[in-house]
Amino acid sequence: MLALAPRSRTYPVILPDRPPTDREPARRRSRRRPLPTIVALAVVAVLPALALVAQRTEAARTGYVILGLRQQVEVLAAENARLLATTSALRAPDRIERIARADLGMLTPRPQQVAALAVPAPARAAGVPSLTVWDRFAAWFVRSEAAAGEPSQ
Amino acid sequence: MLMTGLLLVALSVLALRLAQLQVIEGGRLHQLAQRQQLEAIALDPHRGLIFDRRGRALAVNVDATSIYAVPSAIADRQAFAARVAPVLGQGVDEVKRRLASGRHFAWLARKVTPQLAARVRALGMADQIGFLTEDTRAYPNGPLAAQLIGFAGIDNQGLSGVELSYEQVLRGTVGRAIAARDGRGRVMVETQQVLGTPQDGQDILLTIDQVIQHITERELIAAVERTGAKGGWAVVTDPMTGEILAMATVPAFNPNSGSDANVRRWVNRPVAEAQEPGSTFKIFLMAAALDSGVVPPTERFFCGGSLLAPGGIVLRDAGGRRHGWQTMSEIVKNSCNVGAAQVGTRLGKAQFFHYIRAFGFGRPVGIDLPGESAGIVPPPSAWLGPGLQTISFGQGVSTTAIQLLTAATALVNDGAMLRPYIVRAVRDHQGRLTDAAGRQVLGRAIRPETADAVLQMMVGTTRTGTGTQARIDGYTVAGKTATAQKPARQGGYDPDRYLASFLGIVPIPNPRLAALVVLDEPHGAYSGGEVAAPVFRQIASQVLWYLRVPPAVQPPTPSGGVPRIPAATGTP
Repeated sequence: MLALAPRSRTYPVILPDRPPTDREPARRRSRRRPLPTIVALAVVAVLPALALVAQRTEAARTGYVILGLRQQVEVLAAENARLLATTSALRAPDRIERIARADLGMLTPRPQQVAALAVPAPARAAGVPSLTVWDRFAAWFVRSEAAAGEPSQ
Repeated sequence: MLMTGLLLVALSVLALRLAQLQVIEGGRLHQLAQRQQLEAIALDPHRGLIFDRRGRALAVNVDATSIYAVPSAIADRQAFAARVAPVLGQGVDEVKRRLASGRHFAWLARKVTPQLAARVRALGMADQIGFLTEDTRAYPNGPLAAQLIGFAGIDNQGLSGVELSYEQVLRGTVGRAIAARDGRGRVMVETQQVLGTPQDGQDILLTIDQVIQHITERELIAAVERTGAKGGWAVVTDPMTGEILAMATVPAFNPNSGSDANVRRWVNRPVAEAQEPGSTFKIFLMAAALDSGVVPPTERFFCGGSLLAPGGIVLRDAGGRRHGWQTMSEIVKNSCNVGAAQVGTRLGKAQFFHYIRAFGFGRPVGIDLPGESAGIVPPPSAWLGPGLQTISFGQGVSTTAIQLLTAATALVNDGAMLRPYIVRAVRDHQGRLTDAAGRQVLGRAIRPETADAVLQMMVGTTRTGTGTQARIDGYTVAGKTATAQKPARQGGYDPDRYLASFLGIVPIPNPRLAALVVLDEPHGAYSGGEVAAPVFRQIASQVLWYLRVPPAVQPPTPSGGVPRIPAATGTP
C-alpha cells in the first residue's frame, strides 16, 4: 500500500512593502540641503545674543534718560541755590535799611513815637457744659467715656 | 560638500576662539576691560548751609565754573600761555607754571565768574581747555557777622569761624562710585556701582539773629567812626539761656573774598582777644567780697583820690577825683579805684583768686567757636607789689569779652553761670533735627542773694553813676563802665591809649539782654561811660523793640502827655 504522502503546496507570498518610514529618511537625507540647517542653527544660536544686545541697548537708553534727569535735578538744585542766595541778599537788613532811609526817606521812630499797648489776656475758653442724663445713659450703654464727653445737641 | 565642510570648519574655529576668550581667558580679559572702561568717580557732597535763629540764610552754596587745561594736548605751551593769560588775568609765567603741575590735568582758575568763563570759552580751545562746575560758598549778607560765621576755602573747607568749628558737621561725606563712560565721556548709569553713598553736610541754625546782628554792627560802626577808634567789638546775649544773639567786630571783612582780606580782620576779637577788663572787674570783686562775707554791704571806705599800695606804688582814681566815704554800691556806681583797692585788700589774695576762678576767668568758657583765648589770671603768688589792689579794679588780669558776659550771667541766674553757645540746632538736608543745644549751667559762682545785691549796685551805676548814658527810657538797666589803659610796649601803661567798654543787662528784673560794648583806642572822649555806654543804649533800645519787650514805664511824650496812638483803620 502506498501511503499517500501529505500533499504540500507552496504558494507565493507577496510580502507587503516595508513601511515607507524605513526608507524615507534615506531619501530625505539624500535630498536635504545643509545650508538652511546651518542657518537655522545659527539663528537659534544668535537669537539669544540679539535679545541680550537689545536688552543692553534698552538699559543704556534708560541709563541716558536717568542721566538726563539727574542733570536736570542738578540744574534745578543749582537754580534753587542761586535763587536762595539772591533772595537772601535782597533781604539783607543792611540793604533794606539803606533803601528805606535813602530812597524812601524813612526814619527810626523816637521812643516817644512808640507805644506799648497792654494786650488783654485771652478770654477764658467757654466751659464744657455738664453732661445730661441722656449723655450719661448713652455712655453707659456704649461703655465709652468719649461718647459721654460729647454733649447731646 | 566642500562648502559645507569649510563652513563647519570656520564655525568650529570661531566657536573655539569664542570659548577661549569667554571661558579660558574670560576672567583676565574682563578685568582688563574694566580697567580700560570703568572709572572711579568721586560723588561730592554739598556743604551744609548756615542759617540764623529764624531760618534766614547766612551761608549758602552756589554753582561756579572752574577752568582746567589738558597739558598733554598742548604742543606749544608758550603760545598757549600767551593767549590764555590775558583773559584769565594772570601772568604768562603763572599759566606755564600751572601747566607744569600735571600731565593730563592742570587747574587754570578755580570758581571764576560766569563772565570770565564765557570769555575763556570764546577762545575756542575746547581740546585744550575744559570747564567743571563746582560748589562755591556765598555769604549773601556780605560782611554781616563775618568773623563769627567765618569763611570756607577754595576746596570748600572751613577756614575760620563757625565754618571751621563745625567743619565736621557742615562738610558731609564724599561718596565713591565706579562707572563706564561712553565715547562722548558721559557716565553710563547702568554700569555705575556706588561704593559709598555721599552724605550732604548738615545745616546749622545759629543762635544769632540777623536783625540784632545788623543793629549791633551798625551802631558799632557808627561809634567807631564817631570816636575815631581803631576798632571795636560788641556781643549781645540772652543771659537767661547763654545764647549769643549778636557778635560783631569792627573793622570787618567780606567773607565772599575772605582770603583776600587782611588776616588780622579774620580774628573774632570778643572770643580770641584777651584784654585787661578795667572797671567792669569791680562787679566781680564786689560779688566776691559780699559772697565771702568778708566785707558787709554797709561798710564804707574812704577815697581821698589816691592810695599808697604795697611796694610804695601810689594808686590814683581817674582824674584824681576824691569820692570821700563810699559804700560798696557807691564804689561800683562811681567806679572808684581807691575804694575797690581797699575792698580787695580786705578780701585777700586767696579769697579773691578763688572767686576769680569760680567766675571762670583764666580758662576758656567753652564756646563753640574757634580760637578762644583763656585770658590771663596769674596765681596769687605772682601778684607782686600792688597786684591785689590793681586786679581789684581790673588791671593785671586779662579776660575776653565772652568771659565777662559769661561771668555776668551769674548775676541774673541766682549765681549760676551759663555756657555761651552759638549753634542752636543742627538738621540734616531733609530738614530733620539731629542735634540741639540748650541752657547749660557751667557752675555756681555766688549765692543768689549776692547776685541780687551786685545787680542792684549795677542798676545804681546807670541811674546816677558813671553809666547814665546807658539809660533807656522805660527800662531799668544794670551796667558797669570801664576805661582800661592799654599796656605800653616799653612796659607800664600807655597814657594815651584806652579800651572803653560797657557791660549792661536789661531789663531788670526779667532780663532779656546782656551786652558788652568795647571801643579800642577812641580819640577825644575815651571813657567807657562817654563812648561805650551810649552805644549800648542804642543797641539795647532797638533790640528791645525788635524783641517786643514792652517798657515797664511808658516813655513820656515831649509834651508830657500820653502818646497819641493812630487808629488801626484804613489799610488792611
